[in-house]
Amino acid sequence: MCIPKELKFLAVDASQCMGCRNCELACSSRKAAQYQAEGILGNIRIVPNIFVGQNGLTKTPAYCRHCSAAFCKDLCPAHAISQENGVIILDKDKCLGCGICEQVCPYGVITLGSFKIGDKTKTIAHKCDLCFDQQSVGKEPACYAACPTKALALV
Amino acid sequence: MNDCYNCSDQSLIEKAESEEIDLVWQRYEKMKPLCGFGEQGICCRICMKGPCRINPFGRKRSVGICGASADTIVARNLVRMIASGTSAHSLHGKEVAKTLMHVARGETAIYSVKDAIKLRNIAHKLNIETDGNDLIPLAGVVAANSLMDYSRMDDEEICNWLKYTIPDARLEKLKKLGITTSNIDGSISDIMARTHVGTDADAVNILLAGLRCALADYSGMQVATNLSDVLFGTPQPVVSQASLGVLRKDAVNIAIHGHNPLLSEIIVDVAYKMQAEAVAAGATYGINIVGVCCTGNEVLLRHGIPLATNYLSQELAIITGALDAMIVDVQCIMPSLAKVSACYHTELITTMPDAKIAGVTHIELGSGDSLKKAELIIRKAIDAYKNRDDDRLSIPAEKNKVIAGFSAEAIIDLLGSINSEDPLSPLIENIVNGKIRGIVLFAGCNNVKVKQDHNFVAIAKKLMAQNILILATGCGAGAFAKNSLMNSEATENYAGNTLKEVLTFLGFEAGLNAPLPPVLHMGSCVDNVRSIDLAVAIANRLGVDLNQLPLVASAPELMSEKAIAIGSWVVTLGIPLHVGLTPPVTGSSLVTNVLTSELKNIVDGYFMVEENPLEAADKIINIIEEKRLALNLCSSLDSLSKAEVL
Repeated sequence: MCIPKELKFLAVDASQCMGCRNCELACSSRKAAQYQAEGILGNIRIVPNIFVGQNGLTKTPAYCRHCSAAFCKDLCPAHAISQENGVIILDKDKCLGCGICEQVCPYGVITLGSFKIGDKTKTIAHKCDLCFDQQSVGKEPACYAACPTKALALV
Repeated sequence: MNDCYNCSDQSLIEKAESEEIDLVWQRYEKMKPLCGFGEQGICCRICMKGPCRINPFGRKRSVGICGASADTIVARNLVRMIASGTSAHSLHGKEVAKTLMHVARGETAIYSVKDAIKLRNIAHKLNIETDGNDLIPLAGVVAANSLMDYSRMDDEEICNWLKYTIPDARLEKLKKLGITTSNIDGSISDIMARTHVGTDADAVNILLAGLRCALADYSGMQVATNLSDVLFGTPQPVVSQASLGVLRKDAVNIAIHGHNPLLSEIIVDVAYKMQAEAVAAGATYGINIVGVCCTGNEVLLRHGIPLATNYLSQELAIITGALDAMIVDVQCIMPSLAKVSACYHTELITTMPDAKIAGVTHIELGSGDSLKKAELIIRKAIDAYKNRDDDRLSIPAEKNKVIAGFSAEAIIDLLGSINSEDPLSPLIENIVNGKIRGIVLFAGCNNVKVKQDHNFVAIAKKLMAQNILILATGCGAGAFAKNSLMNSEATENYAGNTLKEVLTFLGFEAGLNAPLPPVLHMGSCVDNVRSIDLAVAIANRLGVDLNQLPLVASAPELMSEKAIAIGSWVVTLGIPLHVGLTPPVTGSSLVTNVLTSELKNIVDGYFMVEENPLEAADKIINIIEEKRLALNLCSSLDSLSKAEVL
């Protein structure tokens, strides 16, 4: 991977989250575009990397915090998860789909998805990559761009 | 936390969970997070340039694509809710009025005038000449005068059912504000027209039109309630039972659910005649009709038919495994009933052309062959009974005694047994001397956002302990019936001393040989006008306007657009209204301020939002004491006891 140095990270002000789930939709749309490019669209369930939850009246998104000491990275048996310039990044080609990262993520924001290649089913993990491809060309991450109140911030 | 205050209901929720059947509570959890733009009323879907959402926190995107502000959008959305609620009630009223017209023209053999006295009283109220008018022609004139309220072309006129049913002072006030209505249907189309893209953008002007539409709702409800009384009889006190324990293992259980008595009355009549068929099918008790929601309230009040449950727990009637058929008409029928009934042997049957559910048996009532179709429906229930799985039966043991049927006429008759010259005087005297501090009308729905029935019960218990008399309608009345607050024992257990004394005296005078209940069941949600009729009678007798009476309304678990419409006319008539959930208006500080504060300066009534039930009770008590003080009535119980000592 080639992660640029000046990548922005996400922060949230829960008091401004309206629970509209635009962030989820934007993340899913980006994934759909990626899956189309990879030729697996329609062959895999689209699950966003950001989830809005509600507790009482408070609504807030859960998303990858790119932990400095990341359990997902440390415990990945295939060494598919690495840390580059502060970003915890998953290498899909190395991922075995064992699900350990999904289990250890304290924020519950890593999910597993399966798709068919010929007769075989391949399962891989999915996690936030901060839309680094977008950020590296001066664009905003999909979730941030879609947030109507900017409860999500870039820091 | 339990989802229901009522333990029987809760046990059935757990049964559904074990059977992996999703109910309203699970669907609510799955729907979270609820979109805050909708919650605050700042999502505009009126045209196809959008949808637009207004950011309540920032300056960017502070107007919609067309330039509509948050104030405009919130006001438009709110009045459209009022218009929808108005259309639901007033169509109900129009159908009843048309039926009365069919009776007058001899076009129906199914319906007749059952309450001639009420018909004559209505004619008198509507300023219609009754002398020399035979009953049936008079029914035609009353129906025509009612239908005129839906079709009048002269904007200067005022709906009969508005101008003849409220105090003169109130009517003058509404006239000055220019918010009286001449045409119920016209008021609804006015709202839809002015909220079309690019029309009315002045939030205050939109809200005033909303109040006019709410008064159209009031007029339509007056038609619905009063003419239903003519066709089916005015409710009189009746003893029955409530809660899901009213279902019987040894009977063909049929629930009637919805709002319109035109249909349920036919089902009730036909079921009585088909008892033998049910017995022959093995149900030794025969047919057991039970009510759900406001159709349940209608038949409870007129026939003493037990009330099984209210809005939010309608699915639980099926989860008992004992319900053989559920027959539905209009409004508040969860489409989920189709899926839940498919998990059991229960026949779900829709009966109205404008209220079908995909995949559900539809047998239309209302035409000439209604009796035959009603027989077909009952037969389907009997057939379903034969398929009942006894292993899945779980009928709760709890059923509570209910004394219902307190129409305004019934209350006045009851008081008339004490003073026939001036029937209202015993009630007024007890309000004046403080034995009854005031009156609170509980109305409105259940809402999945609060534990079912809890707000009703918690507030009412606190109020009755403070000697406040409670009237109830709709699913609020259902909540009190299910939870044993509509019987003499509730008066013994929860009423304050002076209220208990009055209710006991009245109960014995009325020949019940027990206290009246502390909560008087006045009918379905469309029957909220019954309480207004009583309040107007008191106000007229005292020569005051409605806003001066120690009277407050409360909708602590409101949910539907109908509740928003009712709430809006309640405040327009000058009565403060507590709501237990925040309506979708907080996206506009202007609209919120108008509803909760400025309205008081314009129409005397206003919305008071308080989600905590106990604090809501305190605030309601404070309003009542303020009103008493303004009328120079004794302001605290201490002064009452002092006066008695002296």
